[in-house]
Amino acid sequence: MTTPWDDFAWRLRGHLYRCTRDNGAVPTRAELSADLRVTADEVDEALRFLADRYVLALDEAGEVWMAHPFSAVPTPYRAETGIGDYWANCAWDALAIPIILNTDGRTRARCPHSDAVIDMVVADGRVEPVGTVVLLPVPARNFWDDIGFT
Amino acid sequence: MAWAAGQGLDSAAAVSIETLGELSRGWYGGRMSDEWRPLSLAAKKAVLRSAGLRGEFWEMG
Repeated sequence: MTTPWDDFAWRLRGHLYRCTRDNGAVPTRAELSADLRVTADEVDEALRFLADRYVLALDEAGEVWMAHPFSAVPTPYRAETGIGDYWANCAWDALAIPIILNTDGRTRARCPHSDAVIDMVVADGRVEPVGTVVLLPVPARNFWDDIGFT
Repeated sequence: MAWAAGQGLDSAAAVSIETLGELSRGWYGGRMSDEWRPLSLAAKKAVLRSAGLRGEFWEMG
C-alpha cells in the first residue's frame, strides 16, 4: 500500500535525480529542503526511507553519498556526457550514466592492473573499446553488503 | 584473474564492456523517471539473464 509519505519520498527521489542531471552534482539535504519547501527532518526521513530500500546510499552525516549511478563525491570515474559531467561510483556506473541520460559519453579511467588509461565510450548506443574487461569484485547477492567496496 | 586473486578479490568476475553496457540498460533503465521504482528480485534476475550473465557470481537468492 502506498501512503502520502511514500509518495513524498519517491517525489524527492525524482527531484534529486533531475537536480543531479541538470546541475552535475547530487543535491545536499539543505538544497532538497529548500527546493521542496519541507523541513530538514522531512528530508532526512525521506532519505532514510529510500536508503532502507537500497535506492540511495547515505554517508555518516546523512547526506546522499550514492544515487546510483551517480556519486556525490569525487571518484576515479568522471563521466563526460553531452548533457554534463558527473562523478560515477565505478566503471559500471560510468557506462550507465550516459545510457540513462540517453546521450553519448566518455570516461577516462585508469586500469588498476596495467595502469593504462582506458577511454570508455558510449556513442550511438554502442559501448567501446570492444575487448575491454571490467572486474566486478563482489557477487551480485552481496552488492549492498558494503556498497562502498562494491 | 590471477591478478585479481592477488589483490584479495577471489570472488571477482570479469565482464566485457559490451556486456556491462547491456547490464546498465536493464539494471538502470528508467532511473531518471519519476515513476521508477526498485526492480523486484525476479526483474533483477531477468536483467542478468538477458545480459547473458549466469553462474554462481550472478545468483541473487
